[in-house]
Amino acid sequence: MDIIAHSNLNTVMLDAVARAALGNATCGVSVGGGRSRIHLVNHNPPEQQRASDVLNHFGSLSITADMARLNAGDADPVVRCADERIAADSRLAYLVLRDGATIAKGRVEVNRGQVSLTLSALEVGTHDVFLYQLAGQFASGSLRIHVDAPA
Amino acid sequence: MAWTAPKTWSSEPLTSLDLNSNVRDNLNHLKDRLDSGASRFISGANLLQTTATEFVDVDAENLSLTLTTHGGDVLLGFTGTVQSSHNSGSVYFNVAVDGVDYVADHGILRNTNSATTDFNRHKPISFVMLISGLSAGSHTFKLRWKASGRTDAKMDVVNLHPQFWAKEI
Repeated sequence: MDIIAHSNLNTVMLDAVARAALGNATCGVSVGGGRSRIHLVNHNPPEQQRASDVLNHFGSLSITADMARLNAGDADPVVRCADERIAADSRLAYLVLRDGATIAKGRVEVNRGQVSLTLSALEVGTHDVFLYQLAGQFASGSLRIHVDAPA
Repeated sequence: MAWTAPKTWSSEPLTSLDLNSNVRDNLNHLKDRLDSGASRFISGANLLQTTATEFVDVDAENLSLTLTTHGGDVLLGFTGTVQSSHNSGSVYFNVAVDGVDYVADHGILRNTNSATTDFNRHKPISFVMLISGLSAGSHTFKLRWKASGRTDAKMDVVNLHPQFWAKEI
């Protein structure tokens, strides 16, 4: 069965948080036609609720960066999240896309309710940084950093 | 109107009853079958994308065809363009008839990128398949797809307009 949101979300980001929330209970996600769907393998109500949480809280985490545009070779940008919803979390997951392709992913520690992620040696391109909870509401958020050629 | 096996005349007179049932009604039956078809072109503001590793509807609303048939065979066809986001990534296609995938395993068609340079490259695909032995009545046909692991499948419906069709034969 499908859990549906009525907007086109980023497929790679949605897939990452859906799989983190649901594991093998989802076979993936689909996006298009003004809808985003999380495909569930069965009709288990707790998993339906978790999939709904993923969609309802997608893009809701408050994330900041110390710069939104830089030149390649400049100081590394730092992405931060201090959303009150991550206060009880020990880790968040992150995903970094450059021009739509995944270039980095992993886990980052939550210290005193805050996360700080340094993006090192970024190359020229448009970078989308996606942070998401691994528990709770499975809330997520993203921001964009443009890296231009050296001046 | 059902098909009637035509009689073999010998020397008996032609009657309106025989002509109507053996000629008129059978011609109407054949014409009805020829007229029975459905097709959809798909357009949209964004690509269709999936990361599903089991078959799911490509577009549950716009790629669903319903046909009321006379019983027998139906041809399904699809023409479109797909992409896979990773080298060596695959996109698989299947069709569902009345909510059930028609073919098991990996479906009816697979398109795989080369190991080095094919990611996100547009690839045209087309197929025609025979659905045989359907009962008379209403049937729903849906195009289904899935991606190989760690990749996503995409279908351009913005600048290109795939077609999915069904035709009773």
